[in-house]
Amino acid sequence: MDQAPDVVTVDPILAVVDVLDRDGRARVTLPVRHWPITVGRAVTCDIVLDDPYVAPQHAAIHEHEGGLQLTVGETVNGVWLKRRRVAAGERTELAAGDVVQIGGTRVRVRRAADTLAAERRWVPEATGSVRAVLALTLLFCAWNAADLWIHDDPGGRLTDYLPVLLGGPIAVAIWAAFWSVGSKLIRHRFDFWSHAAIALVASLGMSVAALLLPVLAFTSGWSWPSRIGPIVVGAIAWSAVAAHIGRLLPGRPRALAAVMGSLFVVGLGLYTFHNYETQDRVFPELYVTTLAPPSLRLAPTVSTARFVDESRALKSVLEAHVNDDDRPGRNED
Amino acid sequence: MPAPVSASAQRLYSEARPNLLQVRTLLKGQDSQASVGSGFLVTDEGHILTNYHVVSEAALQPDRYRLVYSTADRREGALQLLGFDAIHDLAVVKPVDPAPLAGHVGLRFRPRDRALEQGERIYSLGNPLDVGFAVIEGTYNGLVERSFYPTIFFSGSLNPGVSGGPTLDSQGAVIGINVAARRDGEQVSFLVPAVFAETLLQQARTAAPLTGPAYPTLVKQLWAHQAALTARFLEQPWRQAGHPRYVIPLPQETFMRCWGRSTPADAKGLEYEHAECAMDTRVFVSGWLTTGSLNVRHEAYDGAKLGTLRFAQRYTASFANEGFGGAGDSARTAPQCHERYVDRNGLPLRAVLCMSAYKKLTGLFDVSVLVATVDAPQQGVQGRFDAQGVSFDNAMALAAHYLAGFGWIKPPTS
Repeated sequence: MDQAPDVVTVDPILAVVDVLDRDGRARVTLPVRHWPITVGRAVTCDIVLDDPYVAPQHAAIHEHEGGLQLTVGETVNGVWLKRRRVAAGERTELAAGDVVQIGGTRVRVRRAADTLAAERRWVPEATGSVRAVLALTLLFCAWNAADLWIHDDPGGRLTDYLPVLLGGPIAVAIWAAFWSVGSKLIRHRFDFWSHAAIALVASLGMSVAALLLPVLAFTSGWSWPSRIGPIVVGAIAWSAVAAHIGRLLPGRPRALAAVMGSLFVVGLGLYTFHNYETQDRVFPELYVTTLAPPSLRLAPTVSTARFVDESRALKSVLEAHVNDDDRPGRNED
Repeated sequence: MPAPVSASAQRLYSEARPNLLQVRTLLKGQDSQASVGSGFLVTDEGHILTNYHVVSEAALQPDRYRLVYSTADRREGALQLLGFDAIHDLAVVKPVDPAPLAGHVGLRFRPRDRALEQGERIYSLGNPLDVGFAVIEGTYNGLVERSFYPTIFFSGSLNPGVSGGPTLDSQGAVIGINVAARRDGEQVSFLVPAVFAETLLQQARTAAPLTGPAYPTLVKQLWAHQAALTARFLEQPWRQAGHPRYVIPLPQETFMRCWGRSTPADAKGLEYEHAECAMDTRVFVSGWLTTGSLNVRHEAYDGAKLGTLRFAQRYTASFANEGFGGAGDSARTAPQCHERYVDRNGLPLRAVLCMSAYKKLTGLFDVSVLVATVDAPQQGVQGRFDAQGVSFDNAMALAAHYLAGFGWIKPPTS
């Protein structure tokens, strides 16, 4: 049997009110079909907020001269807009996309007439490939085992390697898990493998830098690669921390890099200043201590006489500091 | 029949007692004693001999410390410093007011032409550990071997506090001044021969009291010491360490003493031989600073059981394990180094020369030279030479002398 459907006239949607969650995403989107709308805890309001810090009739929003205007109702808390408090009875204009804090709830009004921001291109996020992490872990374990082998005298037991082979990956896993909990809290994803990859790459990078820079100093006869070794290792470690934080807060990579870079520069400045104050040198290392196999040496030798002659330059450096007011030594009164 | 020893000590003590003093260094303003030593009258004008190290605090910081004497019969008075000889650790002081000590003729020195025989009984007097005046009987055992300056070897117990007191022969004449004892042995003690005290007394007898800090005088004495030490050291040829591959500099044992050790024969890893030569002589500057000494040492490493990589790790660790006092303190600046590969007749060496300057001992430096051979992948020698309190030019001369001590036994045929 044909029956004509009931015709219900529905007002067109003029706007929506997004009630935001703590991450800034819309938890609920409520349609607005007429102006003004009332916002409050009272069930008679158009937008009902279940929030103890919201008054029954907290605010009203209406169209005004082509824009939106918010009038604050009977409330002790008022309304916060862009870090500015709007007290009871006051009015304020709302621009497109403004987020208003009403009590403990953040609310955004979007009008149908507002121009929408362009669609952003979706770049799939690297999630950290399990295969890459396993490969890095193997490399990491191999490095640690080689390090132990070098330090061990011939005839060592194979089981001596167990703590290193197990302990290293466990330490990395704990470190990555710590950051993953951060990711879970902030981004609602555990992200373990990418944190593990960051930790492994940084650890290997630090080990390689700590080995190669002093060897370069031995080979070339230049002291600076050895002097800057600890700073390069520190920079890699700091970059790893920045990378971990970047996984937690991917929104502003440039700002994060600027902040972390500035902090590193400030730290480096304090470190070198402290060295100069206490040791009269920018780098604490007194001399290149690495003695690599002789076949790696490319730097030339000089005669004893020339070496001693060059050492005479120390005199003026030392004499510049004889009047420094250093602290008493250990055994001094 | 000789008289019983105790009777002799009793007689000597009762004769010497009026001339015996305790020399105390007091903190100005609060009269608590910072250190104590002994001293003795040597003239009828009140000249008192003691050690430089007993009066050093007052000599170097006269605005913080002052000197007083107290006698066995509890008379006390202020002292003033007339002169000192830091090299032999002697000082001459005199009471500001000579009246309380008037009438004492002082102890006499044993004539220089009458040598003591080894084994003779000698008697040391002083106030050990501020307990009370004491006479300590012991034996004269000649001069200390391999000492840079003549020092009497006294077989008797010297304790802190007797420093600066006299040691007498059986006739009651001064033969030496108590100065030091070895703490790692028993009854191994040292006296400054009286002849140096006589010389200092002649110089300081009519001198005006020192008022300001004694640094200029001290520097002059240390300068003379380092000049003599450097000259004597440089004229000595190096001895051979007996290594099959390398010529390694080892000093003569005229005023240095060398000790060696090596790894046990069944060692699995790195094998080494270690030798260290040091001087007994050190010049006391202050309670926390001695200087004027030389030190030479080396380790010869054999890593044949280790292989190249493991040897490089241990060779590096040994080269890194050298201290130079990283930061400056109130005595010395922080060290500064120069490093280079140096050629010794075809033998390549890694050489590091580090120096610090003394702050108050103007013109004096500490120098250390660190050397590692870098010619072989599984063996090598690392050496270190240290000279404390030398002039800059002498530091350079000593460094060059040390480096020249390295070479090949026979250059490898390649």
